[in-house]
Amino acid sequence: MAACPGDTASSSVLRRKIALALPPLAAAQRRLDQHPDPAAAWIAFLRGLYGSIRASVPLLETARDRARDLSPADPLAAGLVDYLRRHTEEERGHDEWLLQDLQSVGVDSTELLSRPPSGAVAALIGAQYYWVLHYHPVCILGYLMVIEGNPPNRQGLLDLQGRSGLPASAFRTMLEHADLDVDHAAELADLLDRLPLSPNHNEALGLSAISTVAGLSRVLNEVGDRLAATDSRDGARFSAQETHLDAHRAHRGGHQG
Amino acid sequence: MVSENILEVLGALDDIIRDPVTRQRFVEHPDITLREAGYDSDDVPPQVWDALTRMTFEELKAISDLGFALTEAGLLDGSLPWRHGV
Repeated sequence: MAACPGDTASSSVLRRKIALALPPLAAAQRRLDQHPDPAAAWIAFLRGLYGSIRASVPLLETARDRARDLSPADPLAAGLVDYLRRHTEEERGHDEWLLQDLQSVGVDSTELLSRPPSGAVAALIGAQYYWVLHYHPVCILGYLMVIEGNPPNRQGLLDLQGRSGLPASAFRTMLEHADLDVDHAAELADLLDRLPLSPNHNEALGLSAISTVAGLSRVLNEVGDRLAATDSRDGARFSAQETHLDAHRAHRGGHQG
Repeated sequence: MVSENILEVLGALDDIIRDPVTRQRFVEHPDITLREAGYDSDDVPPQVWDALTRMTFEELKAISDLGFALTEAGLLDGSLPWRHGV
């Protein structure tokens, strides 16, 4: 799957560009991986992930419709229509899976759906709408290459499940993607290598992919920040309780003395 | 083990792409721009050099805007952990 230097296939070039952008995302992932409460971190991650996964099908439908509209006069757009139509159907319902995974560990879906999605999620997805609607629907392939080109690691997910003590149901959607995305990434690479891409299109793909890495990093960092804030609040509450207890003990000690 | 020289050259590339003037010069003449900074393209990991020299001014800006040093990318071997994949 790694791209070799010198390989000029569009998919390989895009992968090499993505690899240069990945360190901040890897750092954000590591921060969650190393959280002392893996169960809390995983649930917080899934909550954050839901914000973007709920947008997948509408975004793909928008790209598909735009490609279809452009296709009579645009061979590149015409080359996208079948893929986007098929991929939209492949992704349909995955947001519902994730919601069920969250419900299985006690997350109230009504509460989740009623909360405004974060600015980081809106920026991640919103950038794609802009590029698709105001430049070219091929841009969504940069987004998809990041999302599906680096599938979740099955063994890593199973290890995390063991460490977290969460039920398997909390990992169902991600485990499905560990398997599905390998095929999806291969299909996407094959499509990229067949499309009549101009230098401008390749640049747009690169910008879309780098923006996606940046956006995902922000989403994961928001999750990490929220966890840290919760830890700090709980720690402060614990400290306050301890202080109160110590004072109470000292007071009692004084009386007893 | 990544050599000190690789870290230094990636640091120099960071500086080059952060500045718009040297970034533009790098887009046009990558080898010369790096040599002017005191390094040779042979010092750069091939996958990093290949990606950088295929990028446009805007793509390099997007990489620079990530705020992470290229030294980090140079240390990655392409098999990133993706435990929290999406």
